[in-house]
Amino acid sequence: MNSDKQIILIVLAAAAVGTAFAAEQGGRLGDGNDANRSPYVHWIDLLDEKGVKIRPQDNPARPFSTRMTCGQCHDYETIASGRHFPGPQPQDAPGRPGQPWVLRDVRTRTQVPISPRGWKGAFPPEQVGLSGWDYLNEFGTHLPGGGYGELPADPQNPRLVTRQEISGKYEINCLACHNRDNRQDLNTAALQAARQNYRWIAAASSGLAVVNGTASALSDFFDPEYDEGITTHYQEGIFNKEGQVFFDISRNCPPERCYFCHSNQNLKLGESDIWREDEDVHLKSGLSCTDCHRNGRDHKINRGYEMSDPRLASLTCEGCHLGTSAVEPDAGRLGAPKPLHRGIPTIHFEKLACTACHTSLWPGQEIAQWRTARMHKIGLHGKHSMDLRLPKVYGPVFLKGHDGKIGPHRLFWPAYWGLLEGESVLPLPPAEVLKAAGSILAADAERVNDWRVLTEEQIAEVLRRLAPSDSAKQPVYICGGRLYRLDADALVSTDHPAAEPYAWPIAHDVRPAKQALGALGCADCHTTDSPFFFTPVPADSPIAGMERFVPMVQLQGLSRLYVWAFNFSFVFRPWMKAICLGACGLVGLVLLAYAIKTAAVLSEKAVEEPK
Amino acid sequence: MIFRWISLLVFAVLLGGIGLHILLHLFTRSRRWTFRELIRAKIHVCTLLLLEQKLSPWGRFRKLVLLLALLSFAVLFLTGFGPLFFGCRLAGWLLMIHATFAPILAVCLAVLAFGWAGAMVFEGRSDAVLKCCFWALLVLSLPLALSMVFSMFPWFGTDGQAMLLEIHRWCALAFGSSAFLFLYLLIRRQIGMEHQNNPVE
Repeated sequence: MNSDKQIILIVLAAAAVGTAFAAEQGGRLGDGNDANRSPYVHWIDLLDEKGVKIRPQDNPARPFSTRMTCGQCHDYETIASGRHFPGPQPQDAPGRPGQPWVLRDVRTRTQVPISPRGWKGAFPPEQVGLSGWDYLNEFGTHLPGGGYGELPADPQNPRLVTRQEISGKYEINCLACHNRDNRQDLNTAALQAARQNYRWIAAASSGLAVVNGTASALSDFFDPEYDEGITTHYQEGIFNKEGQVFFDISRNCPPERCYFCHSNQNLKLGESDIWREDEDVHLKSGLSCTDCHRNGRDHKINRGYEMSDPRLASLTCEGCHLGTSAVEPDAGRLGAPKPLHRGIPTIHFEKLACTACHTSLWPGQEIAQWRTARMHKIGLHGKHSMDLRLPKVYGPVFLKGHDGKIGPHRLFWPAYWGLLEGESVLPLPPAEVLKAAGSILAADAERVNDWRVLTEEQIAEVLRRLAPSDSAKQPVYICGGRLYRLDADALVSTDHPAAEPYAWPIAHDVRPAKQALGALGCADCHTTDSPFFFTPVPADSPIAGMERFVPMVQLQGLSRLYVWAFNFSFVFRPWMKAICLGACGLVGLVLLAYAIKTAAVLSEKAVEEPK
Repeated sequence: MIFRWISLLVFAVLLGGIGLHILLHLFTRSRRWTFRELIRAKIHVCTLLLLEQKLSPWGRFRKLVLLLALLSFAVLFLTGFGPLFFGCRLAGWLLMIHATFAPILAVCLAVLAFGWAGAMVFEGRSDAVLKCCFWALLVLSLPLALSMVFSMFPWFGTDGQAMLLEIHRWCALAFGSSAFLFLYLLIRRQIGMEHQNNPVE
């Protein structure tokens, strides 16, 4: 007995020392790092959302909470400030625009870019009338939890409070990224989110438990004490003798986890031809996403372009391949080869991002249409799979990025009803538009995966009905790069900054150097019909008979005539080279002849002098 | 940035020096310079651009080539150094114009090298500076042209390309300076020769 007490005392003392060590490091027990590279083996207690340990014999079994279970050793609040878990008040600077969420409504012909990250061109959820709960229900299938998932429901809205009590909060699903167990199933996580089973997502998707029931189907009067709602059954044999469970946790998330939300489908390539596609050359060389997209405890994941931050600079394309310092060489991290770029004038590196030549598809005369995991909910399997086609995402479109360099982007054309005030347009929530429009916008098109045609008469009529009492605001409809408004009761359309496409840069998949633009010569881009400049980008819109194309060069903000003329000059480049080389040869011959003559004269003089 | 300031300094000193030399020349001569005289002198300089009847066909061709070279040099100087003096870089339409006139100058230089070299052999000390400038122009024209031509072949990597651009810039500075000096001395020599042939004037 005494020895037992001694053991307990030693364990407690060790725990106290460990905690003190971790606290000194500014974190919890699991946040300390003594630089031992062998991973910690996660045999841990499962705790429910109240912090009570879950035991195998519990009946009914409760889903484990990541906030409590992982939070035993890791500082959950610090992790929650990470870039994957944004809430209504983002703490970080927005950085360059990324792929937004899209609020889509087929009936009102709406597709609005949404992001809580403050990106230019995207609207915060609140601005389009989305509550935290709406945001979660709209995009939850591809959210990793946290942020909006843990917002307390608005007390002014008792129904939402009730629904949140039933569904629980969507805590950060740490396992979605860090669990290496092959049973980790993000498709199940998405399904649980679609069912509003937020409290159960981590348990159901981890492969440790089977969850039955649908929170969204439960009545507002559901009482968990008396009604059978959602049940959790842990798999047999997962608990050890101490009631602990093993998690195959890795600090470096496997790419397969990232892919669930970061996959893209090229619709130009038929489904049966997907096997022909290659992955990113970095992955094929043995790297994983997190080798470059690293983060500290705060989970502010490196986005891979921040050259201004010296800690991150060498984790960009340029930093890793070329280095950032002449004093302390840091190029070639992770075995990155130094590019030669033979024959590429240096102006290219000032005008183009690395990705312009190395990323995505080789530009073609016809632009590819894409589906992305988050916008089109790809990755859902079985009967829950969706075949969403809107918004029509096009790429690669070569545009100037935040740093003024041209790089490949994907884009779509926003479409929404809104109010124009001054120069800015604020979108109207689709429900509000639908209410005002009444029967004008048919409500029978829930599962249609392309635009339902909209006529100009319909637009005019809806705009009339949307007229607000405030005369300073004018109702407008934006689509296909145009802004539609009523002018003396006639529908007119104009260009407007709010109607510009929403574009975000793409950095993957990176092609091998031998497949980079320029590998075949200048004519890869510098021809008079070069796809890099002249591929027409469809200005996608629901309006009947309004098929419009915008040449890429126009979106790049360059003069079409200039680019054409510049590219045309490459026809004469071989002649120019030949003429210059010929002229230089002649000058060289003259110089050589007179140099020989001079040498002869000097030699003669040298011979004469002794006389 | 350094190149910009050095270029500005070099051309300011050179053109200022030439200007000063002209003024000294004007004021140290006993001749009285009226406004009319000055206009006349300018017109005289301009007549140097005309083709004299006494010239042989080869001489006419040589002069035409010289005039074309002058035009090309003016365009290349303005498009090359103009943006630099205004703090911009050579790009866009100016770059295209620059690249269009570059081979013309290269060909003209080759013809002039062939046609003038004989007359530019050093014999005694007469026109030594002028001749030095001529040979300097020929020597500098090679790295000036080849640095850009080589950059169009897949021979040099990024560092090599940057080096070629630097060579081109510094050679252009030296070439431009030599060209201005050469032209000034050539005009002076031409006027001097005309005075000798026509002492009444």
